[in-house]
Amino acid sequence: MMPVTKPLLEIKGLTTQFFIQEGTVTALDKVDLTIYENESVGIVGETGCGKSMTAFSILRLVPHPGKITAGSIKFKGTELTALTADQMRGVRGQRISMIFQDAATALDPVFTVGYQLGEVISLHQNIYDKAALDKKSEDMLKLVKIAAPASVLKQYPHELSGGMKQRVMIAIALSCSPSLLIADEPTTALDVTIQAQILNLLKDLVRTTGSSMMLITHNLGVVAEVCDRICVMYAGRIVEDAETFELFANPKHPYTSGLLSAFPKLGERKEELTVIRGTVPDLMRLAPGCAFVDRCDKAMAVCRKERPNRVEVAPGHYVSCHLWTGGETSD
Amino acid sequence: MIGVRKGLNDKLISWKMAGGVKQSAADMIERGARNKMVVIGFTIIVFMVLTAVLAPVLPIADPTEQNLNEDELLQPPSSENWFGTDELGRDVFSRVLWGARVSLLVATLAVLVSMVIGIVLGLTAGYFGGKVDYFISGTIDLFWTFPPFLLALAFAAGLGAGLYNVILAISISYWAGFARLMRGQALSMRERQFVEASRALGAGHLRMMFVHVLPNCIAPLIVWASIGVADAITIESSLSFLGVGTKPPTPSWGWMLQSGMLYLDGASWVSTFPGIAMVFTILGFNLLGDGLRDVLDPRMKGLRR
Amino acid sequence: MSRAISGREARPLTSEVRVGGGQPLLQAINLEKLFPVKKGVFGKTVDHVHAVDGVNLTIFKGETLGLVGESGCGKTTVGRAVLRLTEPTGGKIMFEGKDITHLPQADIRGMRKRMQIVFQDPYSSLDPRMTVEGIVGEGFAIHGPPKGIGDVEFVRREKIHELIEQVGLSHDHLSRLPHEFSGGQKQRIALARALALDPDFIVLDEPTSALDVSVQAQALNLLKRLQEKLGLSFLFISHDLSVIEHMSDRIAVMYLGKVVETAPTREFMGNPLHPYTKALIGSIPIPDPLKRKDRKGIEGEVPSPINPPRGCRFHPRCSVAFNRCGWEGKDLVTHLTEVARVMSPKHAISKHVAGLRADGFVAYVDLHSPESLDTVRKWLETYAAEQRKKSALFDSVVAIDRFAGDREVVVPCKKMVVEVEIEAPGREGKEPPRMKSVRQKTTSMMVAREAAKMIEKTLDMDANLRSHNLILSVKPVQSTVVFKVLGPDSNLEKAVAELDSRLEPMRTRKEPLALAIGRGSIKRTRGPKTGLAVKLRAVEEPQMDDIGNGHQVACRLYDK
Repeated sequence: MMPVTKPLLEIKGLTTQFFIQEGTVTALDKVDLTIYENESVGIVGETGCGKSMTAFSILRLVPHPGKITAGSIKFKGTELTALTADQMRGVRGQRISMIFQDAATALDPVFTVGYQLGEVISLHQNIYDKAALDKKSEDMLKLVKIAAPASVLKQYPHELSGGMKQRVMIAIALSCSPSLLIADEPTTALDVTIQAQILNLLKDLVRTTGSSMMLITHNLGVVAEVCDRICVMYAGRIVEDAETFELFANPKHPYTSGLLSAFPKLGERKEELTVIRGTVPDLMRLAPGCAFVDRCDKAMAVCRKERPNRVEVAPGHYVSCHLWTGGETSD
Repeated sequence: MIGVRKGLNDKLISWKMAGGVKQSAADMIERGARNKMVVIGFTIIVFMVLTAVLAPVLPIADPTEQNLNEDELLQPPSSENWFGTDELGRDVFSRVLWGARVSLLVATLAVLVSMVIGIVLGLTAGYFGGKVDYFISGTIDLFWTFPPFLLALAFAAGLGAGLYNVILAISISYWAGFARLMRGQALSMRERQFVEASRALGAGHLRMMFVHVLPNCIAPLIVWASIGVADAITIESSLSFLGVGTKPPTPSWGWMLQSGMLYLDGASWVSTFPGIAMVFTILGFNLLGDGLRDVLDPRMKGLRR
Repeated sequence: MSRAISGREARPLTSEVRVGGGQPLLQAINLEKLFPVKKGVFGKTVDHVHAVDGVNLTIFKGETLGLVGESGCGKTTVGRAVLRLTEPTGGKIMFEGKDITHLPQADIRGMRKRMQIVFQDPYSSLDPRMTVEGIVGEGFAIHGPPKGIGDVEFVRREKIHELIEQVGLSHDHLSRLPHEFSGGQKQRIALARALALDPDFIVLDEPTSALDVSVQAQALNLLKRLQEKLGLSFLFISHDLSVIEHMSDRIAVMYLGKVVETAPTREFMGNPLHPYTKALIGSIPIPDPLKRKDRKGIEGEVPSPINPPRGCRFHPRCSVAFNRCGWEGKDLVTHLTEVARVMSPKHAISKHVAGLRADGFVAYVDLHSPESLDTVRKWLETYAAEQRKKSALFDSVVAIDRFAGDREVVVPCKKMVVEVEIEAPGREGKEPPRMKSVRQKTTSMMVAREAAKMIEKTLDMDANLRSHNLILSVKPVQSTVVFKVLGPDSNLEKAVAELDSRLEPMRTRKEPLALAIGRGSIKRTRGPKTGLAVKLRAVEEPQMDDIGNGHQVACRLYDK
């Protein structure tokens, strides 16, 4: 459905770079992205495309030696890059929450589930009474459909299965009713049957709590299931974004169509999978033109010289590709 | 100096391009060259080794030549004897240089021998596990309970003084450290998939141990060895000091320290100079070891993802 | 030069043509791998992880068998066991018709030339200190240089160049080290290494799971091409059913150490039978929003392989389970505690019940005093009768009776040593194949395990079940088998006598297992004297039934 709500998160021109001995790695290169209220947006791309880095940049958790070198991130009107460390801490966990890929390492193994859940709640909501904390924690565990929540509160992370750990993570992330939930590959480490449970859970929760979700994954099947809109990233840039149905039905960027064809689809056995020739470019030495130029079958002369602008090719459907910018054709 | 470094740098890069040297070795050398501790330590060691090796051909006095002339005994440093003379009229400077030979020889040989013993035993224990590990670990623990110096002292006292006895004594007391380290490394390495892959190809135990496990574990052992040499120099000097190390007239720093002890009040140069030389050498090895640890261990390969 | 985006129709699957013909290249028969669980200071073995528990697989020449399952199902262990990288604890492996299960290590190393493996994680399966040339050529370093005309070193280099080109890499990659390559390239190197010795069979253990989608596509295409060109057979292990469907001629699904369904790919996708298979297919997210639907996944978590559910291992999570699927005591105890809430103070019988416990197919209700026996029994019988119609669990209740709580039957077991004749393949050019006599030793603990299974089958699991029998919970305990008996104490002697009479004919036939089982005796134990036992139908694991079209499934729904 077309977003008729207000924009929740507006990212414009975000550039994040890493300064290492061998040179400067441009992990994100002038990224533009908007997430509205009440919607689920999927960020897809392969390893190294910058999707996780986008999330880290939003939360200002970019690891050393990286830095946000340009751009603005506006969350409900507030410029996040301008906040102090203290103010940012107030945002993290409370207004914007994140779920990580590997629940096993994201949870502290020496504290019980109840303690970790309670810690987040008490930090942000200033509730210190143990009974009240326990009650709220238990409510959160019920929300994520964990059976016997009271006993799970007393357990340690290693006593739980992968699926349950992930649910606990989701509970922690949602405990302070954030407006935006960022999920970084939340189901990649889980078995496919548990994955289905967790995805359903996320879908339901987002619907009932009214928050927005930014789902980061490399799995096109997952975003097809869960998301309203999808952004495709490549080499630190967003190459295409559109509503889910529109993207799958009419992919415009050669990378998007290549990705869709390379995915083995259940029930459609092919002789050979389509392959995108070449490899991901070196983020330290990006050419001035389009990052995909060396691997694109439809590359033109202009693609090597100029980086394509983002244009709207259909209502709500944006592409950054010279095929659609009305640039010079042929040669 | 900058010119030299740049030249070296370019050479390394062209090596890399030609693939002439195994890439990782060239990489490590380059990283080593950037680490200050390694550079300083290495320089010191090279200097000391050169002095030791060149001692016989340098135009210096004979270290064993005694000059029992009254006015040649215990002379302070002068233009003739740069470090002065000792109680038997021998040139201290020359003795310090020759002493380097002894100390370095003993230390490196001792460490080498204990390294070989330690690696073989530690590798066997860690790789095979089970009963083999049980017995070897027990032996390691037995030797490990004693501080290396005391053990060396006991063996040296038992074996008697003499160059090769000292080497033996130090080796026996030092191998346990290497074995322990090697065993721990081997234990974690043997689970790695490339070892299993080799097994899937049909490799036997010997191949898996020495071609796959050992080369991948060697790094911490090199660090340990370098610090071990420093340690061994100290032990040898101490043993000589106590009289169970090298025999006179072999110039050994320990000996010199001991004999000079009587003259600290007045002719301090007899002990001081060998002492300084010793400290200098040990410092060199320690710096090298510490620096190597930084270079070899956490490999920051830049941004991976 | 990209291929057309719409794929061509798949060519006829080789096995559809081959059903029923030819000798299989590799066969796993009742393959078993148990890992001991040790506890305590002395490392006593208290239990076993049933990683692989009776798996049957067949792979024909030139085909790909896809083995799919979720984590913990044992598929990786199967892959290693058929190559004898892990030693199986039971069952047989046949390679080209020859039994290689007990082949000594020296002979196995020779066989490695014929069967190889590519591991899942490209980052750890290559020695970081060896050059690509060294890695790919390691097989030659071990087994000797490849055959060819000319100077040995020249032939070796030529062969390595050929291998490296075959997987799509170039000559100047040979002197580089693994860390300079991407994940996809590393997998190619691993593949070249596996192909070096010209194997007939390769186990691919999740070869593309660690790779990106587009890299995965390249790797899969490469594998298919090489298979056709070199006539290779693959065992393709993965948790990703879409990839398996793309690559395999036949598919086998594993759950908790057992294969639950096998079929040729098209048959499999068109007509999945096992409830687990259906759930698996149903939970995979499809990259097509038009096919979006509410995917349920399966209720609950995967149980631990240490004590897998009895009967059909999937029954606790199965939406269509019925009374013959293997409902156990613990299912009943869970129901009584959580659903019927028998222990809560308001319940009618809660004051009589001291505790509930489960053991195998029996649930025990311990009582405070013998007087409550009849009251509780009556309540249970009424409740069970009510629940029978709507619950498969209660439908499988066979008897509710008191039991001899402080006595049990103990059957001692001895160790077995059996001489087995196997054929050892000779060394090429040096020795012809010959018959070797190998002593197969089975410890008394393992004998006890086998004996427990056999006793349960012989005494307990009556196919007709018109009359319930007396045995409760048969268990191996160290080197004995222990079981309890339902009803009055006289039943104990009956049970011992019955067991003996069943074993007698087997002993006369000199069956080694029967000979290793001693005579049962009745021993006192520290058990409660008063209690009720609810015995559920003791069922065996469902066996694989042939449905036709090369399709086999292990599920009671399809029992003949």
